[in-house]
Amino acid sequence: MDSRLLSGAVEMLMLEVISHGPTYGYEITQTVESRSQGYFELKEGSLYPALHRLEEQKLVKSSWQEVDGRRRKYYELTTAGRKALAVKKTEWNAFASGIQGVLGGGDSASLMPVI
Amino acid sequence: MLETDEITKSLPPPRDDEPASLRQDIVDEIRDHMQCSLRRELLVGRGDETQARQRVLDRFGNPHVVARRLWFQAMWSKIMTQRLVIGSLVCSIVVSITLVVIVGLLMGRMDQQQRDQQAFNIALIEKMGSLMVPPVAAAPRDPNWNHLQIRMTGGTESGPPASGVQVLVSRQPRIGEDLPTPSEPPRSVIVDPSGLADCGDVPPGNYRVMVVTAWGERTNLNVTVKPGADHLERIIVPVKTPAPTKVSLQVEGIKPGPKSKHLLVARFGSCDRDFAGRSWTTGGEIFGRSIVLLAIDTNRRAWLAEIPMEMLTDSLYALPLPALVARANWSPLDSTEQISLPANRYYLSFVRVALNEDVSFDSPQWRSSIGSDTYDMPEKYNVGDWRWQSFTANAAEPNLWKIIIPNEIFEIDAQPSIPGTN
Repeated sequence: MDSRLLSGAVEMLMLEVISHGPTYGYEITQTVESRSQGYFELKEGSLYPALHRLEEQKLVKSSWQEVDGRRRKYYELTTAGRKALAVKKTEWNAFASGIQGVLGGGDSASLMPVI
Repeated sequence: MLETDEITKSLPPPRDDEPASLRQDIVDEIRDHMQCSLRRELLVGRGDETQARQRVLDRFGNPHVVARRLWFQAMWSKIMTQRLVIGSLVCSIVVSITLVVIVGLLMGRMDQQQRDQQAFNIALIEKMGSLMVPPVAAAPRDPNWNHLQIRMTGGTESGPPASGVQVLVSRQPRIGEDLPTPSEPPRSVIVDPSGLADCGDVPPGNYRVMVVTAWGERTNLNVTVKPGADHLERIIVPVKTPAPTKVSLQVEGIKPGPKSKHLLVARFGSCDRDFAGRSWTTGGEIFGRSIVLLAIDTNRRAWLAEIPMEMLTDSLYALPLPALVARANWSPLDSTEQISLPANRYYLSFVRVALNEDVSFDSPQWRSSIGSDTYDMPEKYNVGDWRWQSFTANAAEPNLWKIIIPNEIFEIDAQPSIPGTN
């Protein structure tokens, strides 16, 4: 997929995965990859900077837990993050609907310029 | 899989403003991710562990680069803030230096312009001077007039110049002459730094010279300027005010009586001292802008009151002055109490005051009547004869002033009373 299309959707995808409960970086990559049936593959080089950015923006908050003798950082959505996710989803759905309308050969009269 | 130190070394040097756990958090998060990823690769079972590790690294990318990126991301705002502060500081310094340089250049230019202007003015004045008609020669000095100068030293004849002292010179009338005339006011001269008061040329005659120190102490002398001879007078002036000294009062000569409505009231009148053969006085008021009253009742009790001058006018200066003094302003003096006064000779004007009726001494109507024609003191007071007596306060203490009151001063027939105190 064209990276320009993906870049705007990465944060939305991450917020969506995190919205289902506390999770961590590796699990996020696996979830995105499995749900997209291997279509989206989040690179760690961009995953963690994006996660930290969302944390700075207070859209997610983090906590550390001990797992298998290692420290693991868990992320969960904040109230602001839930609102931001809802907005992004609405925008994406409108965008996708518009694209689908054009590509799917919908009512062409609606595309006629209004005189 | 990945050693902590290995990633830590790849991070920038520690900073003071860096959160304490930042490095460890970054390392732990990356390490956890890679461990999870490795476990999955091993579970999938593709190749051995070495190949699995390589696949994890291939997929993850360079963990050092990721770690550095996360560190910079966390520290970005602080680094930028620090750079902005440093940048602002540098800019401020540069601007300040620039301003100093500009101001210096401008001042140098102004200075040059000023010098040019001065040179131009001098040249112009010289040019104009050469064009002007030569001035008429000054009128010849009246041969009968003579130069009057007064040389003053402080403390002793060989003391320092008494600069700053004021000299007032007024011509005294000759026999049959009416002076001073309005056109001939006293000539005021300030002693210059060399100690000389140059009064200029004056016609022969008698002059009254008043010398006034910076603190108002003054002396008078008569000077005679003879025809055909300049006059130089020498005066030694005090260099400081009289030293403060303690005075005790002792009232004698009157027997305490049961009842009296009489008071012996004294006002601290003029005071003076002898200094270098001259009498120097501070005038009527020894305490500057206030007058001081001493009252003695028929029980030999002494009371003091200090009245600001602004409370009184000249026309109301006559006794019974105590009536103008509020009760709270009278301070009793016991037998051991001392008054602090400058070492001077004092002239106390005593007067007997008889109270004809009870009066509220701090009542508003008395104050409001000051300066008006409705002042009806005489109806409430009888004022006896004035008598004055001199007392001396020497710098060498103790000073005991004995105030001897003849019995006939008071008719002892009334309750002792200071106005408003009983």
